[in-house]
Amino acid sequence: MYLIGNIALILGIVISLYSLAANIIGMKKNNRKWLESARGGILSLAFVTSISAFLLFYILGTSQFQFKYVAAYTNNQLPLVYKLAAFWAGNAGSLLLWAFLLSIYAAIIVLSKKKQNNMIPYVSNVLLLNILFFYIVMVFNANPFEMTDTIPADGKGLNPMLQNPGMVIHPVTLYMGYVGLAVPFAYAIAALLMKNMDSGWIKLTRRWTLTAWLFLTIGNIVGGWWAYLELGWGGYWAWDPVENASFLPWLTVSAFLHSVMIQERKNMLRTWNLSLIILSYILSLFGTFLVRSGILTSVHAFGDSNLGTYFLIFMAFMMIFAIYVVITRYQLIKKESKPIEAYFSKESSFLLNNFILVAAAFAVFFGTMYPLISETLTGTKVNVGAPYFNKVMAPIMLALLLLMAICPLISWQKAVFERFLKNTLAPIIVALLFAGALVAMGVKGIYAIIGLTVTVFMFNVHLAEFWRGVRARRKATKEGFLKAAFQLTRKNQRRYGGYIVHIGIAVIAVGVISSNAYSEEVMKTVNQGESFKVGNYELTFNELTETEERGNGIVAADIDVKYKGKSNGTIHPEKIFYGTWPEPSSEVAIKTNWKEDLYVVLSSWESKEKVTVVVKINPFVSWIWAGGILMMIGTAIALIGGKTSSFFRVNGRQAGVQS
Amino acid sequence: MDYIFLLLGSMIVITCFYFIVSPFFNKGEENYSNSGVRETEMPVEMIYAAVNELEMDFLMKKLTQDDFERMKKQYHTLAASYLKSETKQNRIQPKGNRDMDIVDREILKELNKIRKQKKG
Repeated sequence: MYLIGNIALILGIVISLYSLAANIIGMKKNNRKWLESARGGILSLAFVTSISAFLLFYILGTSQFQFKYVAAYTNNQLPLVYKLAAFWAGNAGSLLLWAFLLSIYAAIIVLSKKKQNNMIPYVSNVLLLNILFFYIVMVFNANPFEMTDTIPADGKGLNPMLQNPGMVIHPVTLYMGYVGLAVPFAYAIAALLMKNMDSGWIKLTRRWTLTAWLFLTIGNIVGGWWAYLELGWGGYWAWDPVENASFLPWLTVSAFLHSVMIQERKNMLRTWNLSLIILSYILSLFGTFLVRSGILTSVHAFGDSNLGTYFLIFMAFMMIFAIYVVITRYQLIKKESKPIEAYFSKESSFLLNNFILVAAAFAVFFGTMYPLISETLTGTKVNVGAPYFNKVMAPIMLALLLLMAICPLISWQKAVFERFLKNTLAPIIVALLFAGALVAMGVKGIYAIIGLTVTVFMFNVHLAEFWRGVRARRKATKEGFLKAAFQLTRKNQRRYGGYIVHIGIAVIAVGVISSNAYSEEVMKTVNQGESFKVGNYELTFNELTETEERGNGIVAADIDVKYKGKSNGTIHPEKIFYGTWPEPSSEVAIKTNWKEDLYVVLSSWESKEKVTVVVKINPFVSWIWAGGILMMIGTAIALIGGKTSSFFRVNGRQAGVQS
Repeated sequence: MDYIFLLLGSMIVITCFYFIVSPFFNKGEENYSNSGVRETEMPVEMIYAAVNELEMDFLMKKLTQDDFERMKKQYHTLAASYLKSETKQNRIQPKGNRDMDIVDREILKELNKIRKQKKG
């Protein structure tokens, strides 16, 4: 097994180097056989990385503690699913996951008949450079198949915080997002190297970019959900450096997904789009650098390695290479650029959206790196923390929500202001009525009310847009409402998929604003049989139990819950003492309904009859997860479709439009 | 047991070697030519998508009829110029005005073809 694992890793380096060379020879000599051989090399890479990945799963699943990696991250008591998930718990496995995903993506590209164009050798060479880097790091620094000197009877086990279903989804989806960004980056560099400045590369990579963005979205949402369940502080986003590192490319790719639409239609913003995709790719490496280097304090960081140096060198190399390619082709990129026809148009609003998203990315980057900046300048490491991020990001996100409300109402090229006002009227009136209702109900907090009002406005605009679309279709086709709504979405999947994503963001915004502004927290020490009230809930402490499960000691409080005077079951917040881990882990008890979460943490106990619990009422947190699901559905719809259909022509002719 | 792993390792190496070397023993064209995407196919398709978006905006009362007609005409002209330039490039020896008429007819035919495909 050791032999096969190491043969596969060394083959990875050899084949990557060969394929790079074969592509270069093939392009220089204009020889198909060399290029086909390079293609065979990429397929071989997919084959050997698949073998390595399978092998690592196998040794983890079968607890082969003669391998250092298995002994470091698993033990006999660990459930199988977490033994397998330990694949990406450490550096070596994570690097193998990167290499595996990259080589599979590269194989998909070279196998795709549709994309058999002259860009492929360039694209595959950029991807091969990445694959080569990961193999070199694995072989020389973090070998997942390294053996131990003596075989331990049991492993160290997995960090208890990682023993959560989130561990199965969150890292993999984030990696799929990160790795996915390498594909549009590779196409962009290929287009530049070939001096092919049209928007062909954008068209070819639209689905790749959207898929990478979808995985980053899933990764971030699942990460928030996991933190909420596991960390026990009642929040879901702590502006931790590593959380920020995955948020940064999400912001820049969001900007890119909007600005490419302008290039597709007007062939504008070519430099901007290239810069955005290069930046997104570099940020994906930066995220990994933060996780691997441990230069910043984070709950995620694997600080005990020197992998950060490797990533820093590779990141710098790729950045310098990309900048060099852009600068040498700058005159070509600039050529044939067209100005925006009217300032009041969708193009302008997309530009503004880009500035806001990039400003948000800069603010997050600055806050994340501030400890390092302050240490360099003053010698003292100063963390800015959540207050900085909340203060800076709240107005930026509010501006973004407002723009998301306005943007769908503005047409391409040249909007008519009077018509815009007319279309805005109903959504804005409903939003203002909503604000009035909040104030009348005694809801406090001016900023939260403004935020919620803008969110409702944005939500209304999207509903109204959909309604207008359905009405126009029904007028033309005489279809029933449901059929018209379905066909409208089906025929314009990119547009309406995007709208569903926006609605998902509105739903998330309600959760984020409400849970930040209106959450309640109580810390209470109670005796057996004693009750106390928090919000609409009444909690009664019954007893403290001690049990043992798979060698781990579990202390749980049994608490009865009443909601608005009616029994709402029992909850059991726990502390788990793992045999393999020095610190106990808190298992939070949560009761969810559509408008709030009851969140209970067992803090400490004096005796079996007296415990201290932390109780939080978090309003609308479940909306964040629901919004995340909506975003995934919307992205999936946009991914499946992607081409604007001629559906409206029927309507156009009936409305007297020449076609 | 070691022999089995040695055998498996050898098989992996041989498989990779086969993938890499086999293209050199395949018969067929040695010279590489671009079999990829047509140069004008994408711009025309994108223009078509842009016109559809415009129509949608017009029908949802975001644009005036005059603006809509003018912008749509601009897009059609752009599509025609793309197709015209491609047809010109494909011709080895142009033969005067008669050929230009053929080019125009081909442009209209091509646009109608794309439109029909989209409707279907």
